[in-house]
Amino acid sequence: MNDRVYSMLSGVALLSTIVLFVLIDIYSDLLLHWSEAVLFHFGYVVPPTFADLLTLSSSLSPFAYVFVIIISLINYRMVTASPSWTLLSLAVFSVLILNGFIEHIWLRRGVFFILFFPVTLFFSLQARDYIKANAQDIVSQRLLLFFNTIFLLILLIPGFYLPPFFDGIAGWALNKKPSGYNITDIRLKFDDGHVEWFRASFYNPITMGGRSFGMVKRRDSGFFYSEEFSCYLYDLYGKAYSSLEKRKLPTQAILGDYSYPPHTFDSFPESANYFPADRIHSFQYVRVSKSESQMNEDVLFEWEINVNTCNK
Amino acid sequence: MLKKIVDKFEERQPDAVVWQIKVICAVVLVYKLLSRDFSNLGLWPESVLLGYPVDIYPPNYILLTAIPPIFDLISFHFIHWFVPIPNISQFYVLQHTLIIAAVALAISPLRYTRMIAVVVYVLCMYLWGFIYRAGQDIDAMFLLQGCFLVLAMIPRAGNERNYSGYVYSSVLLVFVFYYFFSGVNKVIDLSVLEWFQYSLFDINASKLLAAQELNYHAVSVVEAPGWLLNLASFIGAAITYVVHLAAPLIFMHRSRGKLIFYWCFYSVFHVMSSLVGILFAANLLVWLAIIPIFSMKKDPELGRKNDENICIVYDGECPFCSNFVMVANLKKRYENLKIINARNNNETTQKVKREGYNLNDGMLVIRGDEMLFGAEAARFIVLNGSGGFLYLFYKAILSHQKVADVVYPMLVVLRKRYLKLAGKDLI
Repeated sequence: MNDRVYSMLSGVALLSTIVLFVLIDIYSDLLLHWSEAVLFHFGYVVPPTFADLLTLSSSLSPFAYVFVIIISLINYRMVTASPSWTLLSLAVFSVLILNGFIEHIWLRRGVFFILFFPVTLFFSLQARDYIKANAQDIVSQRLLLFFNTIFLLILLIPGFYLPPFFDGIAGWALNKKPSGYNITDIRLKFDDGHVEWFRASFYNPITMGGRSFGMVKRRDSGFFYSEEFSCYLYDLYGKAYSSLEKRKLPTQAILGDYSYPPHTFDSFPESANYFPADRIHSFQYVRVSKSESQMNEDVLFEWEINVNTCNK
Repeated sequence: MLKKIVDKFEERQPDAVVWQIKVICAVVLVYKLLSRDFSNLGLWPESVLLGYPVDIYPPNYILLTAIPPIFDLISFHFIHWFVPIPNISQFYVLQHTLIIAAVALAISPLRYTRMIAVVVYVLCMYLWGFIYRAGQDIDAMFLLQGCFLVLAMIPRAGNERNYSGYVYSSVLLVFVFYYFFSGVNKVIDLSVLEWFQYSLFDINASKLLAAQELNYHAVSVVEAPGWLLNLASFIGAAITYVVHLAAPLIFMHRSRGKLIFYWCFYSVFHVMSSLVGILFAANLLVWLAIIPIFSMKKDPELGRKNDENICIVYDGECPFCSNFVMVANLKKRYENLKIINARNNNETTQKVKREGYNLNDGMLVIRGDEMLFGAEAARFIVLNGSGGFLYLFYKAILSHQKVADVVYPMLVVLRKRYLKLAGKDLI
């Protein structure tokens, strides 16, 4: 890519970003409707709730436009002069400031993609040409080109996810500090009335807290609220019980205390008392919350166990 | 910069490095497999199990490429376009086949590494693909699977000389990509104020309360003064992001000491994640695959790479100088090495004198047309040598330019003192 092509591309990127901002200011509802349609087309089994996305500002701050222009100029400078740590740091810092004027992460990612596409492509193509000319053999050349391509893709594609490559978990930021707790999960109720958690490790190998039943509820709510789901939980529990009776988690069945921990860290609670599967009375989908000193407990749904049906 | 990257990538390594990578990765994989039961996946309905990662995460974090058919192709789940998903016993067999394949990878000769790594990679990606569909383990397995991908990609046949170097460099790049983009992501996703908005210890306190009152998932407990927790909460996340952004240093500065330092840092980071209920045990362990255990210089093949003409001119009557030159074992590295006693009158010593060097003030290394004198010569010797305890001692005091500039003149004075005491003349 020569300088002239790069200049044109970066000009287009700058204009596109400004046009995008203007469009968002004027047509946010329509854009979000289209986004929803596109996302649905690309694999959402259940259409997601876009309520949070619909809260776009009625107008973007003028500073957002200013920082878009600043970032474009820095990028341009990096290509036309020579890249330096100072320029790179300035670009990073400007992006962090710009993000402060953009509410939603999907839009931040989109703006980054548009603004940085020309400069990233420019340097990636330079790297490609250098590798082709200087790699010591074809294996080295292919490997370096492979990693160069992956680098370009991860950096630019918003939400790049191609195992084993990924653009990283979401940023860690909390709008509100947690106080107390707020748990939504599934519990076992035994025939003597006492309850125990259906722990994440019972779904082994999917051992992340809340993910398993949440996935079922999201992808097939009919199944979630059906008797089949309770049988599914019953079967899982039946398999887990051989470990539970030894006061171990199902993930500890072979290696005991030295086993690889579940994704959501856990250990067998000292006071827990898990009975055999035939003593399960029901499974409860519950929400337990505590704020200040007040605890609330709601049973959102309950599946009573019919052992005969499940054993068929 | 590009030259440095390519040069680093092509840096040679002993074969033992590939053994280290494949054994560590295989052991970690088997360890994890022995704590997991994939047969349970056979109980899931297809409607749930075959959803895509894109529908798990909030739309704000849209995973553009975690969609059909891309995800089916990379996870090898495209096979289920034609055949149904396995049942309980078939999942059981697949899991145990993967364990056997991983063990085979760990113990098989290098010439079979690629073939077995392909099997391990495909099976591992296939099985974990179902977990990824549930939105789990992305952080816990990508380093490991990246290493298997590297072993499966790089051919050894016809490439024996550079194979280990390419494998090691590629594995380092897998680590760099993993951590670096996690940092880049925080630049793209967050604003500068949000860099300081992660209350790790408040989340920990919330989870701890739920664990204590409700027997809910256990989390690690941290005990430290309140001000320290507040400070760590305020800057901890931001520091982690910055260090993630510096991850390319793993590739560029790959000495044992530095990699152990990085490992310690990331271990602290991964262990701290247990405060919010997640422990990246595999990531902690898989770092052992890249900590240099086997020195390149111990491989005699590698030592002979350099065919430069090197000539060392030193005082043969000075036992310290002789000892210094001997213990550095430069012969192992340079095929065309000449060691010349400065007290002999020959063409080289005459040339050195004509050039104006006083060999009483330091030794000389002639490297092609270049002449290194005094501290520079000593640095060249320690940086390119190899050896035991004494060599390491010399390396410790002479390898850094500024230290060598101070230490070397003192050694020259000591030499002169010794010669005087021993009744020997200067050159």
